[in-house]
Amino acid sequence: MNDRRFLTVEQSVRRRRRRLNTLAGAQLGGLVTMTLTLAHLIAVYLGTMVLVQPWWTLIVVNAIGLLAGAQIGRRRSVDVQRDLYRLDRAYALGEKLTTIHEIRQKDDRNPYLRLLYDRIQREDLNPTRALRPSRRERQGWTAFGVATTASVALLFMWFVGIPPLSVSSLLASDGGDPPLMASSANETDPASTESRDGGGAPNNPTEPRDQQDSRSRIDCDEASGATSDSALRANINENCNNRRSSSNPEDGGTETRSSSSEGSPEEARMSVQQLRRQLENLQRRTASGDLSSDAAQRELEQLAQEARSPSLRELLQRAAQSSSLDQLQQGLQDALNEMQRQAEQAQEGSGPRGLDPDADLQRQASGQNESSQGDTDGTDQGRTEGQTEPTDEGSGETDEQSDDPNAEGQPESQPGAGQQRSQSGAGPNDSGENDSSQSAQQGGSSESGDQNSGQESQEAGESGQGDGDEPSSGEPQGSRPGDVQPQSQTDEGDDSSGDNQQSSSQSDGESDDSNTARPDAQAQGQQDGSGTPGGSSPGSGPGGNNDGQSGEAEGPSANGLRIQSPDLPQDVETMRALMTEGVPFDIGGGETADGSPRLELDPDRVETLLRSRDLPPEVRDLVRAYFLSLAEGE
Amino acid sequence: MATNPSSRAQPLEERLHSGTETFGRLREGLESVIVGHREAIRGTLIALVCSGHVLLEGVPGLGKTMLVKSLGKILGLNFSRIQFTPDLMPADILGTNIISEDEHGHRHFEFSAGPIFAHIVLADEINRATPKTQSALLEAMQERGVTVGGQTYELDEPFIVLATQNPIEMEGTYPLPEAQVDRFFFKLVLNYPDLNDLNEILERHLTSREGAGSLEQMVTQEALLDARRLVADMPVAEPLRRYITRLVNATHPDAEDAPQTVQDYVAYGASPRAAIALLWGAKANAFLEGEANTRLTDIHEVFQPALRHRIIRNFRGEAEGISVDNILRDVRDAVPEE
Repeated sequence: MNDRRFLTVEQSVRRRRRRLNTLAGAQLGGLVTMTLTLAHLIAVYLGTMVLVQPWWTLIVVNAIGLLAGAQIGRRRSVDVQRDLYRLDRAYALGEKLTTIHEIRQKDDRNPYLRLLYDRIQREDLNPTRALRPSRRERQGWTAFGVATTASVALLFMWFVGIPPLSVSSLLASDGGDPPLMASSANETDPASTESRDGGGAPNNPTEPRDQQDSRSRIDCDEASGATSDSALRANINENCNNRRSSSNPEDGGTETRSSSSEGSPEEARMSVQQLRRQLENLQRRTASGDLSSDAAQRELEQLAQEARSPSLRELLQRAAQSSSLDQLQQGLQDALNEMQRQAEQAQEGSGPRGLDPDADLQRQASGQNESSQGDTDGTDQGRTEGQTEPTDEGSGETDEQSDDPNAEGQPESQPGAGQQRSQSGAGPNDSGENDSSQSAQQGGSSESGDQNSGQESQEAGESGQGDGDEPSSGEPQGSRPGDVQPQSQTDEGDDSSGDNQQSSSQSDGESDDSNTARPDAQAQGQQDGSGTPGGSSPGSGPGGNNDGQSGEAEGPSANGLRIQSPDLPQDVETMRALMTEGVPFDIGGGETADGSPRLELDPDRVETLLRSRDLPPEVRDLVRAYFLSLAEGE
Repeated sequence: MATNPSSRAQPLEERLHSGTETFGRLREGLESVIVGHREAIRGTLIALVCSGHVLLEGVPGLGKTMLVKSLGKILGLNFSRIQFTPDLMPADILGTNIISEDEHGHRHFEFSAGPIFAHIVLADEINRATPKTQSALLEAMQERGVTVGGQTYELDEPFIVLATQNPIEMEGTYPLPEAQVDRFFFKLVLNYPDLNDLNEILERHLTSREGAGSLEQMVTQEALLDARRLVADMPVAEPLRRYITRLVNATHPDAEDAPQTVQDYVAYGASPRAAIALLWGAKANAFLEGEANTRLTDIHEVFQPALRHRIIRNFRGEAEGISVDNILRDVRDAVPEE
């Protein structure tokens, strides 16, 4: 080596170092900007920030960061001696290059300089071999790559509409603003739309509850378009928008879970138990005089709000309005009895309950001749509150046995009537033929009413004979097609004994008991004008008011409303195809006189649906009113 | 750079070559007498060209005294031996003024130089003398001169003290104070020879009990001094100097980059004098290797001899028997070379 060669090596080392410094600066600048970008995208993705607009600004910012860092790095000073030292070590030169550099800096006449030149034999000194990015710099590039990938992935997910992490939904559920990205993603994501409409992943068809939820979802668009009332439509749209804003796919999943958990049997049982304890406590305090009448009434009103069961709620409200303490205590006792009865029914009716359209068809097939009988439909009963979980749909194997499109029971039996029935009934049966009788006894308190058969129906019918003679305070039912009678508006008297008679009569042939009971029940039903819908409460229902002989006259049942219109399709399949999933209408189990199917709206089902959606009371009322208006043909 | 140092480098090249060759022969001569102990021989030669004093430590019978005697012979320099005993007085080492009578009958004080006045002094079992005597020797080592009766006497160059001490038989000894130990350039440890070396020793002593009897002078005083000049001019690059400072600093228990061993077992680390010894030892090692510059490996070669006696363990280190060599090994491994 000579002096010129050494200078060449020194220059190459300088260039190499400068390049490395440039890269290191670019990496640092890029890493900083990319980290900030990633943080921003994460925040946007989680809904806590709004994406900078236009989005390609992010690319520009990162490019600027890279270039600025590169420029700063390029201008960094170069420690040539240190790099020569590395080159020495890389080529095992015994630190000669470093020594030469130092000697040249101090005294280029030093005799050791020439000596060192002579001792460097190698000419192919490549700085690239010695000067490599440090481990830290390599890690920095790795981090930069990871951050870039993550940012691109986030952007991609944002554009595609993949939902954010559950953190977002948690934030949203905590009362925070709805995630902007999530909501916008929802608008573009078919999956989210599907989920919103009930067809998303959360609605696992293998899970009955979810399936029911899926069926129970309300199609806001359709609802909005189906009404002509502008005010109502506006309210519905507002409600739908609220739902959409909070129902990104992930939220939808959370929502579904929430509703599932709310409606889980365990929670329902816990809720009932808690309410029962409160009532018992209230009763004790009232009896002991610790609580004034006014205070007790206030507490009762509160408890009435907490009650899931409409009948129980009604009882509590009635008790809360009691004028005297004795009446209040009596009301409390009635409420406790009702709870006890419901608990027993829930235990008894824990079997599968049908919500099976096929069951309806079967009922129609087998029950055409009985279309003049009650219009109540047990299919909807199981969705009512306070009953056992209405998760099962289609256990309607015995539908033709019960043959009861009119066996629509109440979600909760009316006080008194249910007790009577349970006393007269053949005993609790979860499924099978006897379920029909149970349904009849319980006023069709569950969908199992569809499956009910025989014995209990007959017995209920028997008991209903006597009761049905007494006109209840119920309103006229089924007076006209599409007549509505929300359950919440019904009282005990809504339940007609005629229903029981019909039920018993429809369940003929399924058991000997039913056979034997049938004539009586049928006769009684005829006498009382029974066969009206909603005959779920034998003995207590206003069977006399029922004109359920005709399917055209759709009367209000205790649990459901039926719509019949010449505008409706004439065959079941067409109507079923036209029905949007999620709309809480069912195709009527029975056919009208002209053979056309009927739409059935179960207010209890609407109520369950509304509760499962966690809608505020005013929105619930709004939606309820909407569907009622539909049912009334407005 | 406009210079063409080739004309000047040629003599330097020759001088380097000559010096390397001379000390190569010197080493070979010593190795012909001392079987094994190559590190001790090399360290002794390094200390010689650096004008440093050497503390030789080893159990009796390993050849410490023979090494020093052979070195004296082979260098052709004045050699003196002082056997340190508890009753040895400073005057016994430095010399004293005695009353002398001239030819006219006049009496006057005349300085009688002690054994310290030699080129190579063997202080055998230095730890057996009292501290007072040790201090007198060590002062002479440091000042390279002796002051007696208000008169200072310079010691001739080269002047090198090779002291030996026995790590056992500590009873009745006076271990050297740390400050005095620090004045030794190197501390060389002689261990037992292995089987081959021991067999070689027996082979050489089959016919004669004195193995060093046949040594002749191989190096002149002028050659030694020229070698010292060459070592003094030996360049050391700045990164290597920084490395030396990092090494020395890492022996301090309070240093941030000190390894855990140092922090746990060291009470006091190496002094700046240790750094100087390391620097010069590396340069001398490069010279002995025939190099024209100091290398990283030269520093590694002399790292332990230069710092071994300058690390003071704490009580925990001594109680747990942590050797200084192990500590230094950890230091060397812990300190980055760049």
